[in-house]
Amino acid sequence: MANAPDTVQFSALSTEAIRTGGTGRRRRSAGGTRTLMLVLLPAFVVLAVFYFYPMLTVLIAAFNDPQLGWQNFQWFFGQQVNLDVLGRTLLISFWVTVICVILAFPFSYFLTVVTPSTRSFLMLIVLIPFWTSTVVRTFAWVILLQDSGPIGAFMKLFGVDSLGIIRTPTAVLIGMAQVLLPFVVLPMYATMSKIDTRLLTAARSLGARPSKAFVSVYLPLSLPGVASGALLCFVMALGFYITPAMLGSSRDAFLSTLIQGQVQGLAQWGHGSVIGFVLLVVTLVILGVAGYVGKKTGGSVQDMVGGSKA
Amino acid sequence: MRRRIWAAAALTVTGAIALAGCSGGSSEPVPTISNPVAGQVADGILKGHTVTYAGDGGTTQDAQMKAFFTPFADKTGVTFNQDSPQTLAKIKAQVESKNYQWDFISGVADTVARNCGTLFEKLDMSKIDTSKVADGLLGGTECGVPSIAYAIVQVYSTDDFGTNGPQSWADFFNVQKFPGTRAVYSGDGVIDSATVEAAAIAAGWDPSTDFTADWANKGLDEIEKIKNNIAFYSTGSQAQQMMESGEAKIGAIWNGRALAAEKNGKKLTPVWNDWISIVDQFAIIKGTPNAEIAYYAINYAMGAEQQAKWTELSGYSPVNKDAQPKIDELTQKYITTTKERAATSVPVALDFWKDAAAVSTLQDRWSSIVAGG
Repeated sequence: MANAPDTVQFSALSTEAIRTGGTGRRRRSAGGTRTLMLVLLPAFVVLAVFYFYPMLTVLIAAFNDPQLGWQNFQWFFGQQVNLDVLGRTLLISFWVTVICVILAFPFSYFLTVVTPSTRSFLMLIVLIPFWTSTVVRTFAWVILLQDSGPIGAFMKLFGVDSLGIIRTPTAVLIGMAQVLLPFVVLPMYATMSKIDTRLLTAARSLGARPSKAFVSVYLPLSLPGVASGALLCFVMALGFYITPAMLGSSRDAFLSTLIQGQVQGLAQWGHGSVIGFVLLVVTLVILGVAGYVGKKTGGSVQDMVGGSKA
Repeated sequence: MRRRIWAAAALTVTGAIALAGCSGGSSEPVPTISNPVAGQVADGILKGHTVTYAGDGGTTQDAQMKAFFTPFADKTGVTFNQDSPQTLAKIKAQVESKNYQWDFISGVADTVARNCGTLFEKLDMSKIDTSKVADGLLGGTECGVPSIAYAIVQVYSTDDFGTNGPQSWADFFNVQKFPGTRAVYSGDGVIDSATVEAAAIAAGWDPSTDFTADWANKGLDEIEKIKNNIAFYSTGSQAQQMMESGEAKIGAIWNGRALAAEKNGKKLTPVWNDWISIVDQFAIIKGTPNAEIAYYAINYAMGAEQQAKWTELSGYSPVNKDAQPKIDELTQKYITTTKERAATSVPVALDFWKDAAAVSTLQDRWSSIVAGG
C-alpha cells in the first residue's frame, strides 16, 4: 500500500488539470521547470535503480531464461491453464471494479454534502481499513465468511445450514472490493468535492427535473473521478495475490499465484517472467484504450492515465 | 554547499567499504571437523565466526532456534544469524551472484535433490554423524540430511464416520463409498510429490516398486476425477481450519496440522496405512565460504537431546532415534519416527522427483487441475 499517498495526489493533480484546462503548465517559467527537474531527480534515481532496473531484468528474463528464444511465450500460450487464469484475473478484477464504483459513487457524493464533522468521521471509516494491512483484512474476512464464522452462525438462525461462501469467487469479490474501496472513494471524492453544486441549482432553475440535472450536469462532471478510481482499482486488482489465495479456492487463483509457483517453488524464472510480461502488456493495453476512449470523449479521462491536454 | 555534500558522500562510501572489509570476520580458519558425534561440539570452537541459517519461518523456525541453534551459538561462540523464509529463487540468485546471505537452509527434500550439486553442496558425510538417524529417513539425495520429518496422512472426522471411515488411499479417492469434501494440498502452485504418490497408490501403484511418470499421471487422473469433491488448501493453517470447521470431512494433510486440530477439540482419526513420509533437509548452499560452520551446526542439531527438545517444542517427530521427548499422549499419536510407523510408511520417491524435466510436464498438468477452470 506504499502508493497510497500518490493516489490522492494523482487525482488531485488531474482534477486540477480539468479545472484549469491544462493551462498550469504554460504559466510555469523555464527556470521553474529546471528547479522542478532537480527536485524530481532523487525520486527518479530511486525509481530507476530500485524499480525500473529490476523490472527490466525480469522482463528480459521472459526472453532469455534459460536461453534466448520464444520458448517461454510458447509455454505460456501453449498451456490452457495460463489463459484460463489470465481470463479469470481480468474478469474478477472487472467485477471488483464494478462493485467498487457502485459502492463508492453514492458514498463519495454523500461525503460532499454532509457537515465537516460527519465528513471527518466518514473519511475515518474509509481510511482506517486503508491503513490496515491487506493480509490482516483478508484474515478477518476468512474468519467472518467461514461456515463456522459469525455470519454463518447468524444465518443458521434462519435455517441456512452452511454459508458456503468461503473458497468461492463470491468471497474473493467481497474481500477484494473491501480492500480496494478506498482507492475508488478517494479520487472520486477529490473530484466531486470540486464540482460547483450551483450548477445543479442552475439546471433546476432552468426547468430540469432533479434526475435530469444529475444525469446531464453532475454525472459528466464527476466522470473523471469515477474513471480515475475505476482504473486504479482495476489495475491494482490485476496484481492481487493474497486475497484470492486465502478467500478463494485454488480455482480462483490469480496470475500472481502461477508466478509464485513457477518462481518460488521451481526457480523457473523464464516462466514467471513471461506471466509478468503478459500481465504488464495487458495492463498497458487497457490503460492505452482508456486513454484513447478518454480523448474521443472529451479528454477528461485521459488525464487519469497520465496524459495531458495541453 | 555542494562540495560539503560530496565530502559527506565520499565519507559514507569509504566507511561502508571499511565496514565491508571488516565483516569478513575472524582471520582464524575454522577448525576442520573430524569424527563428529551428533549433538556434540567443542566449547568456544567457532568464536569470531558467523553463520546464517534460513528456514521456513514461523513457530517452526522459532523451535529450531530454541532447540538447536541458540544453544549451538552459546556453546561455540559463533554469531548465529537467521532469516526466513528461504526460497529457491533467492538461493539461485545468491549462488549465481556469489553474494551469499545464507549459508544453509532447511527445505523440502525434492527441491534439494533436484538442485543437488548446482544450488546445494554435495555433503561430506564424514562431517555429520548420521548413525542415529531414525529408520527410513536417510538417503535420496547427497545434498541433505533430515531436518524435519513429517507426513501427509489421511485423516477423517471421527464424528462423521465413527469407526467406519476410509481405510486406504483407494477409499480416499472413492467419493461414492465415502461422500464428502476432501482437503488436499495445492502445493501453493507447485506439484506436491507426496499427494501425487498417495493418489498413485489409489490408482494401483505398489510402493515397493519404482515410482514412474506413468504412475504420476495415473495419480493425477485420480485427483482430476474427484476434483469437484476436493477443497485445495495452500497453507497448513487452511488445512487445519478446513478440518476443524467441518468444511472437509476427510483430508490428506500434515500430521502436525491434524494434531493442532485435535488440540482445538476436533476429533480426527488418522489412517496410517501407506502414509507418505516427507523429510525436509538441511542443505548447504553451493559455494558458501561458511560451509564448515554449517556442518558444525547441522551435526549439532542431529543430537538426541536437541531432537527431544525440538519435539517438545514443535510437536514434530525427532529424527534421532535415541531422542526421548516428554510429550503428551495426543502428540505421541502423531509421532511418525517410530518403528511401528516406519513399517507402513511410503517415502517420497526422490529418485523420480529430482528429475526436473519429468516434473516440468507433470507440473503443467498439476497447475491445470488445481488452478484450471
